[in-house]
Amino acid sequence: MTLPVPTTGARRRPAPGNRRWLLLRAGGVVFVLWAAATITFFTLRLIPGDPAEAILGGPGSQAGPEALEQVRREYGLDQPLVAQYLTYLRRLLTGDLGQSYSLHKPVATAIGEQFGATLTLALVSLALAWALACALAAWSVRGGRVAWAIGSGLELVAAAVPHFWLATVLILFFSSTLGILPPVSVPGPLGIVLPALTLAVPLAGFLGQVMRESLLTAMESPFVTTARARGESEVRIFWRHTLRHAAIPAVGLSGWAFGSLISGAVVVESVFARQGLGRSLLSAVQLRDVTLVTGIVLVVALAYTVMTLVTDLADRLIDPRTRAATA
Amino acid sequence: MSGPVLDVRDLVVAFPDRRGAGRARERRVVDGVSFQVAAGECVAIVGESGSGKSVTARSVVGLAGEGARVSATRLSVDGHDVLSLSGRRLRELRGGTVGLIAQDALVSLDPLRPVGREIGDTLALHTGLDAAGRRARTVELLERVGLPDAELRARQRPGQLSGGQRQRALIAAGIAADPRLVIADEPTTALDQPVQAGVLRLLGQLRDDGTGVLLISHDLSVVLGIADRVLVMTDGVVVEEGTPAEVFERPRHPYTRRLVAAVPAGRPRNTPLTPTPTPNSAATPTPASGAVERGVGGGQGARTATGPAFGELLLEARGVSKTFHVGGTEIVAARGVSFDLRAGRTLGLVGESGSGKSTTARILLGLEQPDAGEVTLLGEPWSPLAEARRRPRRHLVGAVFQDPLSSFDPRWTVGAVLADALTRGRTVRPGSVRGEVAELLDTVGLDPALVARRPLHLSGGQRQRVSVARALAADPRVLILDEPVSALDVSVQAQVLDLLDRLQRERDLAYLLITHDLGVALHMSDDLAVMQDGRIVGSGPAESVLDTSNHPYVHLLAESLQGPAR
Amino acid sequence: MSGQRAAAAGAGSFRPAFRPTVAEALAGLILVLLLIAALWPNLLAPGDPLAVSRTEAFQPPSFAHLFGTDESGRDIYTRVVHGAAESLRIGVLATAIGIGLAVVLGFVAGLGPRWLDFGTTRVVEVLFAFPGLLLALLFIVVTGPGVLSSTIAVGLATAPGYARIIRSQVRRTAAAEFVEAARVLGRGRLWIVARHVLPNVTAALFVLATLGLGQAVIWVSSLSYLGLGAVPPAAEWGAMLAAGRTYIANFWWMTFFPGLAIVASAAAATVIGRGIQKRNRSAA
Repeated sequence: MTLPVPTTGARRRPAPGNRRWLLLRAGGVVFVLWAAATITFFTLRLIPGDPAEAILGGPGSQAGPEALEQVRREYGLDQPLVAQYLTYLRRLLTGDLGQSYSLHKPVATAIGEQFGATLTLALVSLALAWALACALAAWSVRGGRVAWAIGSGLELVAAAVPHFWLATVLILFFSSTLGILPPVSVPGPLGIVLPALTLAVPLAGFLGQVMRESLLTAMESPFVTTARARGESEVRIFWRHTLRHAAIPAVGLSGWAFGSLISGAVVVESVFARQGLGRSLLSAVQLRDVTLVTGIVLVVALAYTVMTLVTDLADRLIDPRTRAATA
Repeated sequence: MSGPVLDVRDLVVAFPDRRGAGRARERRVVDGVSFQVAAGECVAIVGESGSGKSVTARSVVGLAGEGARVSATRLSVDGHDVLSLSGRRLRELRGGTVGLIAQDALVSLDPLRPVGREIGDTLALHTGLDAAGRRARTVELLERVGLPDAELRARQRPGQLSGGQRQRALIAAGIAADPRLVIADEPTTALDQPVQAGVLRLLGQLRDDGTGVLLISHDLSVVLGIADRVLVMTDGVVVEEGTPAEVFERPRHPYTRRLVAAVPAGRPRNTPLTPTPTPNSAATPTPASGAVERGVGGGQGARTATGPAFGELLLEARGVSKTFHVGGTEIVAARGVSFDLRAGRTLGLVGESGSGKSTTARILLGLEQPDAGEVTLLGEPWSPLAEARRRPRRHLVGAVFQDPLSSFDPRWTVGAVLADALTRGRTVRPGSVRGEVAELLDTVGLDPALVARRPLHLSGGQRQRVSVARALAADPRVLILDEPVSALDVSVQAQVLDLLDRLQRERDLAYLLITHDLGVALHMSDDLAVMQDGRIVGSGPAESVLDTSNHPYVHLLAESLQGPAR
Repeated sequence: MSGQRAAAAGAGSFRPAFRPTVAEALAGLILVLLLIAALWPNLLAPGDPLAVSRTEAFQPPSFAHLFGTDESGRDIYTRVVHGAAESLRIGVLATAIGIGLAVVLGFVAGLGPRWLDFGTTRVVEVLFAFPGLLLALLFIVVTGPGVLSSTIAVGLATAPGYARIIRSQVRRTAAAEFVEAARVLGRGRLWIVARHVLPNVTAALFVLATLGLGQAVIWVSSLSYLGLGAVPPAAEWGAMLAAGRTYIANFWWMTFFPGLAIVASAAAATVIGRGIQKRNRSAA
């Protein structure tokens, strides 16, 4: 096995500059997206039976021979595999994601229509989760055992409660019992509350736990002792020192959180009958509309990968210690 | 203002002891300590870990720790009674009248903020300066503590400065508001020796300028050059007090005598550091001679106390070089390193961290391949060989590592570790080799009952002895010791060093002793090699190499030995 | 001195905190109940999970029907208990697939030469580009919905996450000083892997499997809820959820109680997994 470079023996190496790191990471993103595109390319070809049939709804779709011919011509399915692959990549780069048979419109158009709603839901949920997590972390650290127990309980919720069940409970409570919120998503701000809450609460549990731990670590750090010895008040120390430290891991996790929220949106949009990419994806899978599925998945992968890059960059800029760590 | 800057009488600091059965018991970490610090005086408190010295110092500013109960007949700083202060008055005291300088600036300064800000915060809290005034004063302070390019440094974060620069910045933050008393809690730990000397000189200057300095350290030699008075603490009480000369040359209390005796610096080779011989030194020379004759190629039978001047050549390094390529940059860890290891003699390898000592050790142990040069073991090639060809001879070279805890598999007991070493990996069950395991433990002065313990539950000194036992199990001729005592308290360190010394005499072993502690190196080594930037910049007999070398770095080391000038 | 104190702690007390907390005790109880439900469902619910009764349809929870009845009048409590076997089996299978794959990837990356590590890490990175359920959905669109398909899909989707953790654990162990000490003593590569790396990583693997079981149960049931996994009239919890989906507003108990069973299982597994993790950490 290869031994790692001993860090005690060698002088601390100069950390790669930000520009170089960004270049490397951007290259990584391009590679990942290319690989993802390749995977989605083969997804179609892996479906048992005739690919043309698969595009039209899978085996047993009972598509007519003319429709099949048309599809074959459009997607170049008669050509050698390599040519198909290159055509596929070329079309991706121009934004052509194919045609959805179930929606009778280009996949790109379909995605464009739904993207906004899901993005809104994801961002609102993320913001809500962050706010909840911060409040939870701050409270549980200052508030003694009750707050601690609640924090731990909520974190368990995050790990053990599926979105659909939480949605059910929330609907039961807020709609059926209290009647203050609609059980299905209606246009307007009120309609986004329950879906966002369903997504935000488990995420807040997780982020809150992370923040709580890093808050504790920060509060016990020697630099806090130095600050106290300097005569700073506890309040000042909390806001100027420890909170910043506590937020760092949560910032790094936000990229991952974004992806998890979109994945959760598949269920949540379905439960609340809310328009969006998640719901479209689900019905596409149910109808076996391959091109729509792969199109949506690719777009999500793109958004997620870019988001991860952004949060990693933010993490790097905020915390100089990450620069010295080995990649 | 007359009167002492710091007046402590009958200080008691107690922590709740959860292990107390039934009623809430307390553990007195500090049990009746009294002393004074006058303006322009430096008082040092020395003691080993757990002695209560740090808690004493921190109680002065009310930072004894969570849940501490502090009481004293008198605890006053500059006439103010600390115990009666709270809230705003206490915060004014902290930083304003008393500056605290902690150890290891890497974690004592907020890693996210530029060091200038930390200093600026102190100024903002205790002086009436505006932003521009604060900036100017920050640069002034950084220059005063000897940081070049002060303006640039003020904008940098702690991670961008070297260890010594960081510590100076931390000191600057501590003295920013011109406090009457400065408390330095282990300010030189984690620093290389020449850098330590610089920091201590700085503290001496503060003292000369009229500030009272309370210096806490576990290292006696550190306080010698700078303190006006020394207090020795153990188990929460002060057992000795006096000038450095009095404490060091004429110690009265038995603990102090032991402590002073245990300091290796300045003690000649082969003088034991611990007063009572370990129980097993009564072993007759017969097993030792057997050990020598068992060696490959036969050794010379000389077993006098000081050893022969030129023992058999066991391990030879010639022109060893190694470069690492990490993330696009090149790090030259070793450049043309050459030395000999002879039976019965110790070669001390010193140098600052990052100088390449550990890499050299790893090459000798066959863990790394050198890019150039060769290592020869008992006359036959060692480093160029493939691993499979080396394996049969691996038992000739043993190793003791710095961190004893991580050098053991956490799931193995002491018995398993030794059984594995004895049976060359065939088994980890102590049963079949029970006798030899007990013998090994005996040799290193450990109770055979420890066989069933895991290293996690041993003390640092015990772990290191097990490490030595493991290295001895394969009956080596050469031992590579990589910082074997750096993590240990002085008295424990003394025991381990004495053990190593005795083993070397009994078994005619060759040692390569790698350490950053010059005192240890000079005490234990017959020959000394100084490394810097991967090169050996000075080498020769230990007694003379520091004085006869021309190299500036060696001069620096020699100077730092004498301590900061008074 | 603190060192002496540690030594005095005694040879026998190396498992100081094995006493379970309240949460862990509760979790243990739940797991025991689940096991009984899976192996001997008739002990807890003597009725027939498939017995339909038109007249009893949509009954709310009562003493006669603890969890109410569904649209065909089947007693939900009985179905939940009898569904435990299938649901747990699916969860275990999905976890096994996920961790099995992850172990292969993680060990190859952790122990192999640098190029292999690079390649495997890239593969995992690419799989990571598809967040959460998306990878599973991609798999299902190829194979079509169904119990087996959704189980494998969950295994595949969870594997990259575990692989990353396993790889880092393997690397950390392989880089540890006691491995170096073993090399100095002359042990071979294979010996070190078998005697040092594997035993030390296994503890973490166990934790991962326990935590993973909770996650797998949730993911698989989510897929069933969406209609892509098990289908009614199977008493599997996810299938019950799928059936009750349309009736959420009026007959909440149809989704609530099967969901509760899922939550209880996942929570119990998670609590116990965390407990083991905590004790691993304090022992090592």
